[in-house]
Amino acid sequence: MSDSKDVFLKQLVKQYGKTIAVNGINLDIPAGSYCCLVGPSGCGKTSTLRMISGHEEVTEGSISIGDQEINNVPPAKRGTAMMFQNYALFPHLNCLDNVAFSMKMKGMTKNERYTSARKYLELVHMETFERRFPAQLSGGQEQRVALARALVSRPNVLLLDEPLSALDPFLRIKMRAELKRFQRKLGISFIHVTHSQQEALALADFVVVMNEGIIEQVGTSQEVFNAPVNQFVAQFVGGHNVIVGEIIEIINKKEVMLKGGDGQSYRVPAQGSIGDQVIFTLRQDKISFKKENLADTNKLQENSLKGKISLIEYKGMEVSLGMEVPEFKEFGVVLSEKDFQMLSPELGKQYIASWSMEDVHVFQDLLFES
Amino acid sequence: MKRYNPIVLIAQVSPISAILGLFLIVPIATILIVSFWDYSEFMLLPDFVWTNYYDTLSSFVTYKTYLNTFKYTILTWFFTLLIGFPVSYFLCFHVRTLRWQIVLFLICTIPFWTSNIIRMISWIPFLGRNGVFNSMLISLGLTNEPLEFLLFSDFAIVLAFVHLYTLFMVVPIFNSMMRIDRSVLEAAIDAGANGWQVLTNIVIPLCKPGIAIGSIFVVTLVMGDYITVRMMGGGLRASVGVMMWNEISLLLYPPAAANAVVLLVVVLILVSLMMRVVDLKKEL
Repeated sequence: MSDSKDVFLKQLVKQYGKTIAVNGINLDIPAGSYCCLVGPSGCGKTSTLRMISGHEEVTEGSISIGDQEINNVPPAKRGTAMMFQNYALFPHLNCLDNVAFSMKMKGMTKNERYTSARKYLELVHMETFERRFPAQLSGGQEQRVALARALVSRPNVLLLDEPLSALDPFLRIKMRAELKRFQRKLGISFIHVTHSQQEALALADFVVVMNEGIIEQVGTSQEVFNAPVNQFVAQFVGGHNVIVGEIIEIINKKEVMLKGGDGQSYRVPAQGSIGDQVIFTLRQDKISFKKENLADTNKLQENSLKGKISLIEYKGMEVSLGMEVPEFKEFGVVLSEKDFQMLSPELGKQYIASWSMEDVHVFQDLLFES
Repeated sequence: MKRYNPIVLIAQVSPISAILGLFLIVPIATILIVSFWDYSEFMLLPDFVWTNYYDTLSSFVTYKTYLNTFKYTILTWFFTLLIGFPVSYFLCFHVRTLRWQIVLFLICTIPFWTSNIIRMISWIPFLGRNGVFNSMLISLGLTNEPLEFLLFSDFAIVLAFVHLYTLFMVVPIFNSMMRIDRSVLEAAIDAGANGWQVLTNIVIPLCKPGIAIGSIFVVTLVMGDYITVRMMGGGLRASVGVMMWNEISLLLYPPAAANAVVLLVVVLILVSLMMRVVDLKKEL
């Protein structure tokens, strides 16, 4: 098929009137990788994608594909192809003509373009639907046709704008796996915009977390999940409790003792001087959990806290619990189904959550949002 | 299945049945019946004769008049489309804010705030032999003689029709255009289509229903018109409507009725041809 090429964004800015949608981002996307831009709505991810596709003008900075700067190259000449959010299939054309559209624009003969279009419909297993119109297809089928239409122009980079958001949850997971398979098979870069962190973590070779026009973190799914660089990323990726404490004791060069808002004490791997604030995250599934005994009432062990259970969400493989702890909105704990059965926690009862120091991740910038 | 009370059912359908019956079925049935009547100089004679149809369809004048009416229809259709499509396109794709779209749309409807007679009459001082336009041309030195073809001519008739009916073309086309998903246009550009190709391959095909509906409006209005042709043609030009009006003014009701039935059939054929282009049910 076609070669994949690196994509470079340098100091990229997008401004709409006075609002800055993208605020000087730098990003290298190596050839042949699956890259997910993820963030809440209005974070600039879609603007970034649309600038790469050429449907939005670049305010400042540059976009290069391979060794060519493409700021002023028209969309069809960039070696990119776009898959639109609602697929944007041409409603008056059947699947075959939809896929063959770009070749028709180039002036290829009917035979040539239909032969080629059929090949791509076969690739996405839609060859039996070539006479159908978009309105006669299901969401998943529409998506496959849109994929075939995007791929037929042999792009170096495929751009996907929330491609799964129009599907129902079951199909979303199925099509997600399929997208990843296609990316592997074709070997070209996929740049995929999504607001779902699960989707990003599941798909991406590397995840780009954006917020308010800037990139907060770039890393593999594991890096982003296990070592979020700041509170925003930790909260956006989810599955973490963000805990704040003040240093009250320096244990050794690598460890300090913190005091929590409600008298808890946390031992964490961090450096600093007494009085400094430290923010760290704790994975919700790395917490051990037990019912409060009489013996525990007075003194709380280090690296633990207590609270009433305010929420139980049964999810099958695991169970999410919410604990009411004064300084947190909600302290989340994820138990395996087995542990849940063993403990059978009850709503409204006091429990103690504790963890070991190794499972704590301290943010690099200690004085974050002090 | 739930059983409905027949009285309730009748009550529910009776308003629309009454309106359609009173204003559609009864008049058409009357015309149809009268078209088979005989007549003398003074009175109508209830009968069943084919002479009215025979007279109408065997007369050379009828065909000539129909031809003339078709000419007006085609010219009006062509120019309303030529003006209406770009106006809709501009309103839909170039006017960015909804507020300006509404403002400009209202401006398009200003001609409809006055009666169509007044709108036509106002052309007369403008286009007349010593009218504003001719005076202007002469004072600008563009012509020495006043242009005669401006008023009481085919030109004037088509001009008035276009003036009257362009909005009937704009509205349905605008409606179709507004339904086009902008990302579909972007997808076309992404596939390498240039501006012209986007227009011919995406916008026009997707506007077909609007064009068809607008065309049905314009064609039926022009085919049945007599007042515009009379006023702007100065009584010198003929159309099917004028022909019927002449018969009515001579109290020849049965031939006029036969003529009306023929016109109705012709218009229905035209409309059904236009409906073939488009699945109207899908649009409404």
